[in-house]
Amino acid sequence: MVAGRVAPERLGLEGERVSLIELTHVGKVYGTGDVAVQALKDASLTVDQGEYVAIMGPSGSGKSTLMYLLGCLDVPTSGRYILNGNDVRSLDEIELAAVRNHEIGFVFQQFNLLASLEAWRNVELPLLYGGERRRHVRRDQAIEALERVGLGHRYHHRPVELSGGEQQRVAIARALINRPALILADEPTGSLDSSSGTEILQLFEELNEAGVTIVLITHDPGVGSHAKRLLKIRDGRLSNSDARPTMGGATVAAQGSRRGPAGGALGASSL
Amino acid sequence: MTLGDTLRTGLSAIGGHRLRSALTVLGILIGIAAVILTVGLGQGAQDEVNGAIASLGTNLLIVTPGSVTSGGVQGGLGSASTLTIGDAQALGSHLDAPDIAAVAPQVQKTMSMTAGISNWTAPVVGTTPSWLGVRSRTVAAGRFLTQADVTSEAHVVVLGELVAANLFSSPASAIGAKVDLNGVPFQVVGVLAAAGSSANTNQDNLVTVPISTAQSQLFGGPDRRSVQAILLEATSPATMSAAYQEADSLLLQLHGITRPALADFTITPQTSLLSTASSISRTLTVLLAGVAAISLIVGGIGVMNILLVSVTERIREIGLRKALGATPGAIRSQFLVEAIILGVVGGVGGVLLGVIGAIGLPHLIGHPVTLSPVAVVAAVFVAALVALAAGVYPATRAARLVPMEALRSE
Repeated sequence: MVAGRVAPERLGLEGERVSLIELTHVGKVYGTGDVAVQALKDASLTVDQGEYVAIMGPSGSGKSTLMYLLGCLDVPTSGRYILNGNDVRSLDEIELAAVRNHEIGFVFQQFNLLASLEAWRNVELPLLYGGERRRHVRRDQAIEALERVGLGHRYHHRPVELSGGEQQRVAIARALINRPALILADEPTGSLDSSSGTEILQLFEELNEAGVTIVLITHDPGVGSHAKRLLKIRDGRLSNSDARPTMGGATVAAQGSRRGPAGGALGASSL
Repeated sequence: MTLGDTLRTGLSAIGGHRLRSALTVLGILIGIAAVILTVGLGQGAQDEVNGAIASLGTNLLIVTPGSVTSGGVQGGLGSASTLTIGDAQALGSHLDAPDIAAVAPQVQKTMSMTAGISNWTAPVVGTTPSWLGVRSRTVAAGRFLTQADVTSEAHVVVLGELVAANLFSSPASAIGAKVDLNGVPFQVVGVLAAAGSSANTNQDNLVTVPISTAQSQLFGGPDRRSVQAILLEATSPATMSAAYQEADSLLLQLHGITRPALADFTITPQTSLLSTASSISRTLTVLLAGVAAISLIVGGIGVMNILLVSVTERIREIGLRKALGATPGAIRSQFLVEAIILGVVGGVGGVLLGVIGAIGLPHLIGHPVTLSPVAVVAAVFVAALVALAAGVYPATRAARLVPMEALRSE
């Protein structure tokens, strides 16, 4: 069974919506002086527990920057980012590593599996860095996570022995193993054929229905349409849209409001 | 992460690049083997010199005739025949020279010798029975010269081990046999035990005869009382300088010389010669070990280079590990452990190669190689340390990578 890690103290009474991500007027500048590039401008965004949000934009739009910021792989130049109660800008490198370890499960376009390790040893990595010292516990949990994505029988295969879709499932198992508050997926179907891609998106929907919060970043409207809320990003500016993705969409940014117009409701209903 | 986890991660990474890791290890391995072998060779040479000192007798003083001034012209060292049997007898007096335990006058000339159809050429040493003790030699078969032999100018000879081996089938068969020295017949009464070689002189390639016989029957010459050297044995290593003083003043007095600067003899402690040889071999060892250490450092640079390549090549892996929650410390220790594994494998391999070399090399070059267990254990530690030092910079670089940039790189 799939379950997102939901901190009890952050679950409001009577299923009240609880925000997981609070991005307030966040900007990111790369470089300094003449070569400075404003990759992200005044982005504000709230994602509640249990939401399934797609952030869509063409390449160069700043969506990767946003993904790195959301994933605590980089820190904002300005603004405020609170992830599950942690003010990210105030954290040092070691604390950021702990936040990435506990709060976030990454799914990448290129799967990013380590070729020399068997599937279960790829999946156990977050447990390893999370401080679980007992190898048999890590192994059991890794196999359990692989079972959740339907690959329990292939736990000892190396990545080269698995199809693209299977590799991405291993990556998803790895993302799930620490029961993170958030699954952050960067073009998760970008390297897959359409049927494998559909399977992965289906898996995401199942995970979301079981309560896992998902933020999916893509350039593909077909992929973005699977999410329950769609945000668009263009030229470093983030804008909200309808719950059902359309190509137009509203241009009003969330601007630090506690929830998107429709996403909040969906987030609540899925908890 | 436990140490086992870190080791497992390091081994996986090394296993992923077998050829490259093997070449890196080779650099360390050759360095360690070179250090072990040169130190071993030096130690072997040192042992050889020390052995030679012991075999010559550590309490040995050698008196040789010095230059003599005649008609204002000073001859070269050893040009004079100023030492006599009488000097040797006087030095043997326990009253005048209480710190001299034994005295052996010596004359020497290289001669050809025949026994049956075999012939050989070796130094013939004419001396007295005390020579055996003074030179710390022993007899393997038969007996050594006796005072009676000297008194009666007996035609008896004691063979060195090498001479006996060249003239006779066995030391035992030599006893009682006849040997002609320059055509003069002598009877073999004993064979000396092997003493090995020292300072480029083979101590087993000689024969000894009574000094009286040598002077009257073999060497001839105008002054049959003169000797070429007088070997003195001090009562102990501690009394060497006292023995030196006694011999010096006694000989000055006997030769009627008032100014020590004009002495017609020279007294040399045997050990001073050898300690020079010893210090030369030590210097050479240090030099060679230095060259070997440089090759070890080159091996260390190889480790650093490979790890830097590894960091660059695995930059995405590092980014991924950081994304999954690896702290900078975890990344750093991963690379340091890889470095140490390479170092230890190289160190152990180098020790194995060094030991094989230590066994094989003496057969090739004829010099002994002495391996000390301490050096062997130290070599492995040094290898690990060199690799660790080489790993610090690449590991720190890996640890400092910004995860975002690391993940983005291709």
